[in-house]
Amino acid sequence: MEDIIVIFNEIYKSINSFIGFQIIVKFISIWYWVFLPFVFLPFAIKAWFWWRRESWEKKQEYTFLELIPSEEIVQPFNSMEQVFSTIWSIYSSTQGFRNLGKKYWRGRVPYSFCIEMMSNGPNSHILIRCLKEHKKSIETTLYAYYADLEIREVEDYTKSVPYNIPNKEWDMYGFDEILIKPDVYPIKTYEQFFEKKPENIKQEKRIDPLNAFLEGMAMLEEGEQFWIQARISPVTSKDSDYMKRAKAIVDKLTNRGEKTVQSEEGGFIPPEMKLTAREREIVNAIQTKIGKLAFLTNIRGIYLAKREIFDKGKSALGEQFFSGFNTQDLNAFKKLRRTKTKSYFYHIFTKHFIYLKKRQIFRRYLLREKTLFPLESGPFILNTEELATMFHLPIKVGTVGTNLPRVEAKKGEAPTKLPTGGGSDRKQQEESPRNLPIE
Amino acid sequence: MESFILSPELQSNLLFLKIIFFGLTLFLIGFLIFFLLRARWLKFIFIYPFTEFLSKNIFGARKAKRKWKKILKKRNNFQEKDYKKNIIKVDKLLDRILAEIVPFFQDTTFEERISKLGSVTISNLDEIEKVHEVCKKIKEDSDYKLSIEEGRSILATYEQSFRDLGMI
Repeated sequence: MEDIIVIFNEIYKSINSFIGFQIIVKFISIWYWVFLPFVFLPFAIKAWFWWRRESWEKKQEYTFLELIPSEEIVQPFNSMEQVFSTIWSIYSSTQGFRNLGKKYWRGRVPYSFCIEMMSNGPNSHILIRCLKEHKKSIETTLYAYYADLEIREVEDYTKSVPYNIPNKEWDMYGFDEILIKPDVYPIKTYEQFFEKKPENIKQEKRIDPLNAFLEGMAMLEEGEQFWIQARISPVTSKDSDYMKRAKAIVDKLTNRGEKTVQSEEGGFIPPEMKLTAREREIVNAIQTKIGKLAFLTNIRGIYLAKREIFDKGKSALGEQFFSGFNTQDLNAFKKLRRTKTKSYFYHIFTKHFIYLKKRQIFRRYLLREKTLFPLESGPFILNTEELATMFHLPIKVGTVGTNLPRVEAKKGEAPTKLPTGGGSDRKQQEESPRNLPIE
Repeated sequence: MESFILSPELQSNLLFLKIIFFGLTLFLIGFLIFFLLRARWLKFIFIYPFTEFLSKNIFGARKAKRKWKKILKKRNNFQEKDYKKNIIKVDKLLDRILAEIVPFFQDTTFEERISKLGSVTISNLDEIEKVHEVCKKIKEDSDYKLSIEEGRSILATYEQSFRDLGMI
């Protein structure tokens, strides 16, 4: 111990004897007051932004739209991609000098909405949670591509469970999904496994991971619930550096920056030409991904059940669903270790840790917040094609069915020239029941 | 040059600037304290995780339990005045707990929080709404007449909600 003290003393003396060091210490001791505000300023700016953001959030009103598909969907899957592309137009930047007021005074954050799939017992539902001001545009977009679709305004389904979960009666398992590789690598999309021709739709049904997932959810018992939430927010390269990251990865994959070498035959081979066919495909896949409209996404899932019927095996439903989009050499989903409600060998108070993780993921789910809220990190980029692959209207074909509600009778288009007489009709329409509970 | 920068004369000449910089620093520190107390950032990042990890129960449960025990001890000797005082106390306690477990930013009043909760969380939600109204009347009107039986039944209603929340 004494030796260590002697060594530290020696180090201190040698630093102290350095004249430059003494001048720096003296300078700081005299001029520290100039630096003090600059030390606190970055924290104050962040705090200000958060405070304004909270004030903005308080004023926002959200609504839940349940999508009830028709008995049979004949639209090709890229209709859903078009839906996402159109919905992307809610994008409104908060970056740059022009938007300083919007961001730092009004507290506006980029708009987002949630696509949620839930099953209460065996009954599955597909929902969109959006701002009330976006409701009309989302409805119009969906009707434009799926004319037979029925959209109902419903209550928040999270009300169907106690808010103090996990408690004596209820237990849960939660997870956040992240991508294994940098998010500029695409996941497996419908282009690779869906049949484009409507006449081959029966084949499509068998290979649609969403149908398999909904069928899995149909096996849940009363008292069990499974929730999947994807919070998506339109972004451009102004808000995220994904374009730069993609370019850097493409450059690395194509060996750009390396010198052109002379081949044995005497010709010159540029580094790009040395790629194998698959490597070229990967580069193409990255470039195709970033060429489409992008959303900053975070995905989480929760399995909830009453303690007497809680079956941890059923929590694998989510895993099965996400593994349907995984590839070996492009991208794949995995659960985020930090938020997964599981203990690890280095956790000392295991039960306390698991309880905390459950509470945190449950709270973030209710708030529809980012992966590591209140921290900003966690979300990743998915484009319209990837989102359409994961979240689309499932087809019901053959004998195997899901318990997803369906529009039973095909509804014709409304006549364009309806009489619009008195205001009483409108009033009656306004008074029609809204916010129906999910059955 | 070096002696000029480090000279006390220069410092005294810049006293006015020094005061401004100190003022600015104090203002920033003040704002940060205000932010930590008013916004919910500190709760999300530290207070909720810390307390929920330690207590293995929802935030505020321990405090509620402690306060409720105190009320229980004295309940048999309560007079009208004591009932009124304790109903206000318990109502405030429930409001605080609801503010923590219903995490939506939009809810600012007791009624809004109650409307967000389904009857799954608190089984006697309708009764809670009624007793909250009585509590409001007690607060507004100091001459409000409250019988002992009524007081007892109101406390029992709150007790049920605490039980549902796993607080007691």
